[in-house]
Amino acid sequence: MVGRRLARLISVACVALASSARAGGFDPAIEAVSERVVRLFGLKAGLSAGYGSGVLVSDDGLVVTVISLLLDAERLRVVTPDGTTYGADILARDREKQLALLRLKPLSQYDRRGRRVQGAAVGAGQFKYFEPGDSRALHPGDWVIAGGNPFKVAQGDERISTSVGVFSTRTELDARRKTREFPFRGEILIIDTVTSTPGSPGGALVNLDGAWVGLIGRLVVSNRTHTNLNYAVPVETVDAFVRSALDPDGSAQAAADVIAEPFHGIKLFELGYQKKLVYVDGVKRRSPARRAGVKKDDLIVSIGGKSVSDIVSFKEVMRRRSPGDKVKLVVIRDEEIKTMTIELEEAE
Amino acid sequence: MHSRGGLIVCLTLVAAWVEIAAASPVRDEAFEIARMRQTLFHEAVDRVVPCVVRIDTIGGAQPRVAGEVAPPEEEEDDGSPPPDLTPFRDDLGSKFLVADGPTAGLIFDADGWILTSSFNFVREPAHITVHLTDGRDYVAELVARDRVRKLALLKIDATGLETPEWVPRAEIKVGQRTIALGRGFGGDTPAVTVGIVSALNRMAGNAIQTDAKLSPANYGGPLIDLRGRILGICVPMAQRPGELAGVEFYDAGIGFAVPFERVTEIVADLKEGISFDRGWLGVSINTRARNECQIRAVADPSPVRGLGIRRGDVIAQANGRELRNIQNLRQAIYMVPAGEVVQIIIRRDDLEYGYEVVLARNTELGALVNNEPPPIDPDKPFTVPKKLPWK
Repeated sequence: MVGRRLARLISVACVALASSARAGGFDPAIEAVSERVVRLFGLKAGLSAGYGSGVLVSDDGLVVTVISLLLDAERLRVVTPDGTTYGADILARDREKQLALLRLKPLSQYDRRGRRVQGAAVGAGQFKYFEPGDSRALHPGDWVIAGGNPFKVAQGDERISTSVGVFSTRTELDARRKTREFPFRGEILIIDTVTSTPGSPGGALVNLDGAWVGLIGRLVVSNRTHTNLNYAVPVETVDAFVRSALDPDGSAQAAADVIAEPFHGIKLFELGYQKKLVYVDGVKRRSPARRAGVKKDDLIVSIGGKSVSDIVSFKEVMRRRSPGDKVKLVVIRDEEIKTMTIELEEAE
Repeated sequence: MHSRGGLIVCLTLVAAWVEIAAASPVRDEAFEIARMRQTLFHEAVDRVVPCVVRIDTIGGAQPRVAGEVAPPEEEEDDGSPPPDLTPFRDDLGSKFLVADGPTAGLIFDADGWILTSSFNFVREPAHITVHLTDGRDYVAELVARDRVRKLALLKIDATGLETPEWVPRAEIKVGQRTIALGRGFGGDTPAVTVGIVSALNRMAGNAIQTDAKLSPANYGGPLIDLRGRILGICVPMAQRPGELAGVEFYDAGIGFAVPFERVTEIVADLKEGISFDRGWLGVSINTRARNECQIRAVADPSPVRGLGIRRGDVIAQANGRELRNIQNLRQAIYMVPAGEVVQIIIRRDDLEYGYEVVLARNTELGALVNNEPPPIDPDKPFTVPKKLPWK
């Protein structure tokens, strides 16, 4: 009995000793992200700051990052957490997802006397790297830790910058850069720590356990809120890109997978410029919409719980649906809300 | 027994040592506390989610950019004063684009009254719908807005709605945890941001301040405590008038929420359809006057016209605040809506006079005049020449 009590006392003392050195509780996650995020230095032009971040995804030097102008540098430099500088080749780019995969390589440099000096070698088992975690398990309010090199604060073998926030929500990205629409339209993770800073994109987002859940996305402005977004691309999307990049046959198949709008039979009131309210101009005979009870002049406000404010968003939401889906449609008819269910069919 | 105890001591020691010596950091009690706090966030959010609605607005245009004047139509000299003599134009206070996506609101009482931010209706939408957490949709009526406190009240045809618990202002402490909920990003669940109460009694006592990231994504949504009780309604605010003033602070760690006491004062009027607008004195200030707030002209009619105040008089104080320029004046009255009283002290010939003035809406103000004011006419609007005991 005495022994057990003593044992508890000692173990508490030991834990207290450990925690006095590492307060906060975020240290395992910070450690994990600091050891696996690299700093990129490349082309500085236009919107590109010339520096950024990347995440190590293999022990032999595969790095995933976001597409940016800096990658177009003649000599792209990658600095690993221990401060070693490498070169890198771009293995793959995905314009739609705005992701790029790099492979580290030795960077030969010239010393002061103009002699060529061989850079550090790259080999298997050399780097700590992230296995993909599970972003779907994130719950709004979960702690998240973002790691990257905002404003290129970290120099030499200094640690990257990390910040703590919470996961806000998962939503579809609908954003722009300056005046151009941002091509990536998949799901993203909104976070409440500020990562919309130069140098942060390409960094890693981890949860409290230090598991990798996302890749900090490029600087964009939301088309919904018109604010700069602090967000990460879910790790599942990043992992799918890495896999397809390493397996070209698979990626070709993915590219062939064209998304078409399923058949609903709703004709919308369209007049050239598309940012128009979603008024029904007509309903095709013997169509799913006719059966559901959609009528001319109905104003469609939501599809399957997603609000649609204009014809573009109507088409977006419909494209994500498949034939056979039963979708709840909310319309306004004569100042009243009407709800109906429409069963989508195969497009002709 | 004794030897077993010793064994446990040894094992624990070894285990603890291994834990410390291991290269990966220890998941110590600080880690467990962080994890527990995360659970508290979930529970607080879950408690209030049934009371947070998604508001969709349909139609309406982006508002006119601040200070931008509509191009003049065919101008004819009809004797009206040139435009610069009618400067009582309300601008939005920002060039920010108003949100295009959904916004958030909070069920205020069970009979379908929804409290939200006036920010969400600057576009003057043609239709407003409210989506409840349980999946029901309603067409909503915008009953009234408070453009000063940036609140708005919607009515939907529903009864028996779940209502949240509010925190009395006396219980709100600086430093306590806050969680803000919004629907601006769409998605199936409210977006969550976390912070603390930074200050109380901000914006002339109308708001509490938080460092939780507030933006058009959560204006109109609630700021809650760790028990899921409502601390306030998130709104954009800055120390100047304008319906969009404060939006530029978004995500900067400077956010405001209107607490319960203030909301209840306002809601009764809002339910009656009474809107609150920015209050105006109806004076133009001579911006060339150094270090004093000197009147250049007075509008007729206006709240101060009937007082005998004229060009050259100096507004020395407003609501107890010393005035040195027009910005000081704006800051002193930006939180007082039309219809409410401001105490001003007027200086003329080194004598000071105190008045209580009821502020007017800009639409009630006449053109600026420079001539001597007429004698006090008790039948004219705004004539409340109540002299304060002022030595």
